[in-house]
Amino acid sequence: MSTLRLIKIARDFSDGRQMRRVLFPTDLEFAGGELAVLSGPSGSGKTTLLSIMGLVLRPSEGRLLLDELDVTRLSDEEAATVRLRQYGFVFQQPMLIEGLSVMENILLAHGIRGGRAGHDIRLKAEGLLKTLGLDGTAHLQPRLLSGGMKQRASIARALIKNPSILLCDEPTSALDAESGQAVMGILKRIALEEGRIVVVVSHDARVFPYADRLLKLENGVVVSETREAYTEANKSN
Amino acid sequence: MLIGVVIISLTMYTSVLSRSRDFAVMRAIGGRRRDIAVVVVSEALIIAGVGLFIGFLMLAVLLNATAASSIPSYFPARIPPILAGGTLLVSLLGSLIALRVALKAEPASVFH
Repeated sequence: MSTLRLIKIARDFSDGRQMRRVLFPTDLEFAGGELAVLSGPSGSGKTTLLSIMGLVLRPSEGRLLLDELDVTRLSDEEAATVRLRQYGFVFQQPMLIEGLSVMENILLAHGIRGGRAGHDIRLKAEGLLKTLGLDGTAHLQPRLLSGGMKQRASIARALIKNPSILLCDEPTSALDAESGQAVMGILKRIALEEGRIVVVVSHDARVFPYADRLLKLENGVVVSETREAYTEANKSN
Repeated sequence: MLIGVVIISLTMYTSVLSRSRDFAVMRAIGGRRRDIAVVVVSEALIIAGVGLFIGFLMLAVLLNATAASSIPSYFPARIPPILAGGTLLVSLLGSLIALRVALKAEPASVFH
């Protein structure tokens, strides 16, 4: 199982006149097999933290270790390669590319560097669609799917490369309650049964009961961390 | 030639600008800047290729239609390759601004 360690990770942004710290030095460790939820009010730094963990934003300070390999200062190209091999992303909006079919969207990562998905990869994509309840949608254009179906298709796109880390930014915020629960159930299963690191950013309290680990951020600081007990407490309520 | 560059620039710029989010997604899931460049330049060359095909097809029809007339059209054989080369060059020049826009797509922008 993969591990992702954040050591004194901090991030500053410039507002044009002065530097503003949006994430204060943070130490965290994530391991496969658990679903972690980062929660907090708007502007608390949770998306910044997720972006740094996803190698799409460099920290101003600190170190990021992926499987004990320092990935803090990778070049643009090296970071893209690590993302391609080890990361899956689920965004707030499904962000499927219109003009490509659902299957072509799922296979995007395989073709992005000029490669071509083989028969086995297509079979895997079909299997993912089936698992995610999207049987028979492979040839459809994304605009023909409901919001929940699009989000599930984006989960299939994230999983096709068999990533060890799945980062999700508000994956349920654009969905109705039923679709949101379905998506969270899928993410929970992916974490527990497939042993991946799954980190979900959300301020939606309906997501919290799915968390094995709940981290709350305020003003760029992790102010509380609850493990397992939170879920159990909620289950019993 | 300048008009051609401007028309292709505007067309490609508008097209790429409306798909900035798609390019950011491609970067986030592991696409490098050069992979994005391949997409944009390929599009420009495909547009040029289709345009050339239609243009040469219409030229062939015109030449064929006027072949038997008392004033046949004359088209030296050396011209088509020059036209094709010029068209491809214009397309590549026209795609430069669009390419710049596409390469600016930041993977971090996919997170809100």
